[in-house]
Amino acid sequence: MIKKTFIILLIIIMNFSIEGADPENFIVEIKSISQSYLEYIPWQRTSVRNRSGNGVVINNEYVLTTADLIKNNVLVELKKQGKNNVWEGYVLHADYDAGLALVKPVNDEFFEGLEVPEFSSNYSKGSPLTIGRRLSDGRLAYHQAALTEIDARSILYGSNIYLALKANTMMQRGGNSEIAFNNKGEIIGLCYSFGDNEVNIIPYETIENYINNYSTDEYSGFPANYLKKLPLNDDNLRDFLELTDDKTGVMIANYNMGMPYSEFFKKYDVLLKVEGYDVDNSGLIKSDKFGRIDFNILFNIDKQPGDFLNVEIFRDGKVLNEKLKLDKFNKDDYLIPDHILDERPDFIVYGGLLMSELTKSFLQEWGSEWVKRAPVKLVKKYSDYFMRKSDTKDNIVILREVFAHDINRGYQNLSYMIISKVNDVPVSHLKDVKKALNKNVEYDVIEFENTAFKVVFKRDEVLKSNYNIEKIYSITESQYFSE
Amino acid sequence: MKKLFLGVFIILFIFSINALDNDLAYATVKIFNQSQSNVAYTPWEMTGVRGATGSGVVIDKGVILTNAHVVADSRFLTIQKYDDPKKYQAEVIYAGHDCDVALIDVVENRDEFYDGVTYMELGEMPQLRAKVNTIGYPTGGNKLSITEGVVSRIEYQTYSHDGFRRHLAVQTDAAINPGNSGGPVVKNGKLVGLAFQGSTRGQNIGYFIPLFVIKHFLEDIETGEYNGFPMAGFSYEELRSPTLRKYLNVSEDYGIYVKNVVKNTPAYEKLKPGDVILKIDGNKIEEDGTVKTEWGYLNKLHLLDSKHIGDEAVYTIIRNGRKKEVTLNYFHWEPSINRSSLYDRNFLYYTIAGYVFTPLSRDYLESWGSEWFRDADFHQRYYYYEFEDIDDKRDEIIVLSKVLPDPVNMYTREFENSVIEKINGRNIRHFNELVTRFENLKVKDDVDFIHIEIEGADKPIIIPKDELEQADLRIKENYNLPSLRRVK
Repeated sequence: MIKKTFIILLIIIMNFSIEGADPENFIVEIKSISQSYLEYIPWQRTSVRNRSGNGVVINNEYVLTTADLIKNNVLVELKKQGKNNVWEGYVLHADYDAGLALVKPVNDEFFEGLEVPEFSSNYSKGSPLTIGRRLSDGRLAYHQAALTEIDARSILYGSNIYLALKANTMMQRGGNSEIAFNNKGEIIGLCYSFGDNEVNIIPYETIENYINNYSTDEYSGFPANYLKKLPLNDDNLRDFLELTDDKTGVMIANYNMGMPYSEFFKKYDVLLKVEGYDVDNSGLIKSDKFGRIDFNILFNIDKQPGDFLNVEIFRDGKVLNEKLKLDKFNKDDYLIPDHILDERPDFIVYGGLLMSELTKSFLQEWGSEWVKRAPVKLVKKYSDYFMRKSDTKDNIVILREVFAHDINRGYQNLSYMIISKVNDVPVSHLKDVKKALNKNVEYDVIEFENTAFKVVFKRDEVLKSNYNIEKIYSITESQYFSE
Repeated sequence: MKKLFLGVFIILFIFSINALDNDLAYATVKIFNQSQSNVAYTPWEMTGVRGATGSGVVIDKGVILTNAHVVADSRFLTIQKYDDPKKYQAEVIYAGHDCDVALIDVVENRDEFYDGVTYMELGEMPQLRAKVNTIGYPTGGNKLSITEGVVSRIEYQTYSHDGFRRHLAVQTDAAINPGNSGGPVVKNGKLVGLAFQGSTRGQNIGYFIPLFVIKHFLEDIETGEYNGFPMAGFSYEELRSPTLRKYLNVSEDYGIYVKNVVKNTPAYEKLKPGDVILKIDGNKIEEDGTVKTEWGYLNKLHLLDSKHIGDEAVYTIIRNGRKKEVTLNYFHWEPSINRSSLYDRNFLYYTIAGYVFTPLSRDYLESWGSEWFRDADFHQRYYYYEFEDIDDKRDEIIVLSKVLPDPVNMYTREFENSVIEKINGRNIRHFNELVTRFENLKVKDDVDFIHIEIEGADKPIIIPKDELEQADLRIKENYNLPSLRRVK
């Protein structure tokens, strides 16, 4: 009798935890068919992948999901709970930095019978959560969880720092667009990755900002906040900066170029306060809701590019109160782009020489230990310039490898060389190579950084051999440029 | 009658082999070395004492040849001759670490030692497939061992004792094992080389240092000191592309392309990047950088190895489409980063407020372990591989090798193993400049802080001058440093 009561009680609690509306009415199944590009043979794609996850109805136009689910997407299929028909859809928008995406069905009739759920930021450390996970047969299962951490982190492929939650759960698999509810049945976030019995959640704050921003005429993204903070525990450094003991803060890393707000912050600037919050010596602020957390979240938690942030900085022995205008985060600001998703790498094959731009994805082909294994000059370039964009050099163009052919005899051992000039045109982008190769010359001359050695082709000979090389090595396209 | 002849022949044959073996055995010695070296990343420390044995060959009274790696960093050296249990104290007279050859001599009871010792005659360079014997005291027993094999390859190889430089080496399938090092390799009873290294990658791959290299060493020390093999100071690329040849106006079907020229070397201002070297002293340099010799095509280094420090060589080059001749004087120069392992010397260092600075070297990088070329800090690896080609701000790379924890340097230990860029706003060209700069700043009244900028780091290291003297005393005592510095 006691046992029975307990079971009934538990079922009631379970139901209550996702009460409010029937999740089947606002959570839909998303199947994402994806294919990515191979960095080392960029005219080829990998095998087709099929992943399924969840989407949350936002309005009568689109469905929210995680960007990870729809990365490198070729086709989206949507399914409503308990219904067999599959609706064709497409990716409307993705922000890989924030980890969120919107998916739209081709036919809006899809939304018939669906409703918009309640979202909430009603959560706190230790509060119970329910995680809705999709089973392989398409049904939803629910798992108990407890919110363990409220933190600031970058999301999977991102660079900026966002508010992120961590919850403890007995769930064995997941981390791919599961839905996190609070005990009132309100959605507090989407799960984006999974560790040992724990899931990471993108909270409602980020979702709200994302949807609001998307609803405007032009999506401006989240403000850049990748400010490198240098703890100020070192008394010697504090003395050097003439920072008295009553002041706490962090030094902002000094980059010459390209860093967000590089024109705002000066060398040895100390950030004392942001939006009235005291920044401590390790860069944390104390918030009533989130506890001690990285000051960087104040840049994007409810702000958009163009908004102002009140900051107090310590410069040359003086305290300054300033308004910092928030910049848009733009992945093109990176000299060496971080991750290339959805995009095909640009490349040129000319005379059997495969040339492309240096990306982090390329370096990561050396595995998780790429810093140790990739060619050291490329790793150094990455470390020196990954956040910098100078006036003179936009990207790093490399000769990746040489497809051996009679035309490139003498050059076949060259690989991972940084191209400096082609036909006397300085190269700071792959497009420069394309342009230079269109110049009317008798000899094509390719020059490299840190060596006097050059590759020389006779134009009429190389043009004749290009087709032949493509045929031998099954190169389906001699070049690709994303627009 | 026939039978008798056969019997005599066999007896004679056995007898002659024995006589020969005895001569060889009495010319071969066993060497015991107790060595101790300096630790590269904590240069005030010495390693533990290590005992090792090797072999050697006597070619004359007072001239016992062995490998430099057998007697490197020697603290106490003894020699044992064949069929005599006594050990004689010896000393290293000359050590050529770049070619792994050393000359040692007995310094105690010298006449007694040389009594009964035979002197091995120098032979000639063996040809491929020639039968050779390796004699020495390898692992596996205490007595003299003789193995037999053939010459299987003659080419340029990296000498692993140096770790960087390449010289002519002869490969043989005669077993060469630890302990064989420095022992003679003989053909027809004459010395043709010194056993020195093996390959762990294949089977039965042993190498010996041929007479060509040994003779270079012996000629070199005639000057009374060892100067080493010359280095020209340029790097090259093969010139196999017919189009590039045509473009560079090279009508010859040989020659190599000069990629880079290192500053202050024999090649500096004589050769220019982009030159094509056609000939050196009249010898054609093939498109792959080899040169024809009596032992087949060998790396063009062979022409360099045929010279001594102080010699000259005439390079026939094509520059800007025109042929010309330039003469290089092979003077001695020290590379800015030692890519060769160093022996018989102590590393330089300078300590201030617990920060230990030392020049970047191969030995330093090797302290990251056998996978140093991956595991070491990548800034340091980068400079090790690319430095000569890139930097004009510096002559030397100086690393902050260690932070000896003390209140004065709290919160800065993350900077261990980094490359230093500036001191109080000024670039530092070399180690000596670092020392002078620190010393000057210490006594300069208007400077309250010494600040050091680290490559790739965003905050400086700050040393408050008013705490420095006390801190240095404390650190010296706490960490038992015999001295805060070892400078030139």
